[in-house]
Amino acid sequence: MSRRPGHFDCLTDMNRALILSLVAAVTTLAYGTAHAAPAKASGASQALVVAPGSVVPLDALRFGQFMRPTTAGTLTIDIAGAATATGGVAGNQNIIQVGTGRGPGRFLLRGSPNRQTDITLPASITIANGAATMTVNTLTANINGAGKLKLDPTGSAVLIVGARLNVAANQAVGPYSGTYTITVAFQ
Amino acid sequence: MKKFVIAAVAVALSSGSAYAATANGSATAEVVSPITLTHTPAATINFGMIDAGTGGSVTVTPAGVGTAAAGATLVAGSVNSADAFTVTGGASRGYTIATAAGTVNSGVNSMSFTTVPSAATATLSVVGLGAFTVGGTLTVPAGQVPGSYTGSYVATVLYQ
Repeated sequence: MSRRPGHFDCLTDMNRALILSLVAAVTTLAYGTAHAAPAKASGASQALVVAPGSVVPLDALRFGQFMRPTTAGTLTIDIAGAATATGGVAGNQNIIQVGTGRGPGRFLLRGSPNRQTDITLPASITIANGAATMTVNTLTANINGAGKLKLDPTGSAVLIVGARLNVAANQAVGPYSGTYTITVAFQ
Repeated sequence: MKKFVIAAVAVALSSGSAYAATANGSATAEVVSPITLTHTPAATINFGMIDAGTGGSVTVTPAGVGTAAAGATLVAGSVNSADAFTVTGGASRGYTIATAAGTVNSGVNSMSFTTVPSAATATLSVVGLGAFTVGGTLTVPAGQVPGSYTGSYVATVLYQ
């Protein structure tokens, strides 16, 4: 097996103190959030080090601009980036999008090649503009029915998150923002 | 002794093979003020006082300048004016302006007119205000019955 980050070999004549220090180093790597290359050495025995998982936000989930509705409605951004409006929002979303426009949330996942990950999405998100709030729910992602997303042969995947925004009648105008947490279990 | 230690290493590694990470993403939206259109009180497309003559037309520009054409003439002392509207909405938003044709009536008698806004598109100010004016062209048939004619038309603004 060729050596590459994520693998290390132990010298057969390595003394115990050195091996223990390697164990400590591996532990640190496994629980660190950075995906720095593990230390390497050559030898007869091998052990696979699971690269530390990291999740990096790439893009915000952006519902963009829409005109205030007089009746309640929804605006859904799917993982392909398409926007669909219902109720009072229908039609009100068809205005020029300034700034970063609309789009799904995106996260870069880094882990071991070809491994599955278990994705946990929040049930709902609250975005706010001062005291005014809107609820974001029905989150979707490019995961399979079991909630899994597989990393590619390079150990990467991009998680894409869509959702539905619920807009009240005569929702207060202005910019709204909020944060949400996703959990990725690297297997 | 040495092999025992290596075995321990393997156990430690396999038990550490699952790892959960969390990340915070952000979600954003912006609710934009509805665009509103208000007719300026007392403003009107005033085609003026017209002598129909052999028939013609009177055109008032969005700037309010009136001219008669063909057999129609404007009577001395006639005053022309353009109509006016104000617009409110989201800061710096662009919008389109559309104005329809209409008719003016005096009892059973009528004349038709077309309209033209001062711009087909415009941009609201940084505080979300805008304004435009409307002119038009009135068709005056020969022998049009004298009288005071009034009418209306529809103006529409839409966010781009």
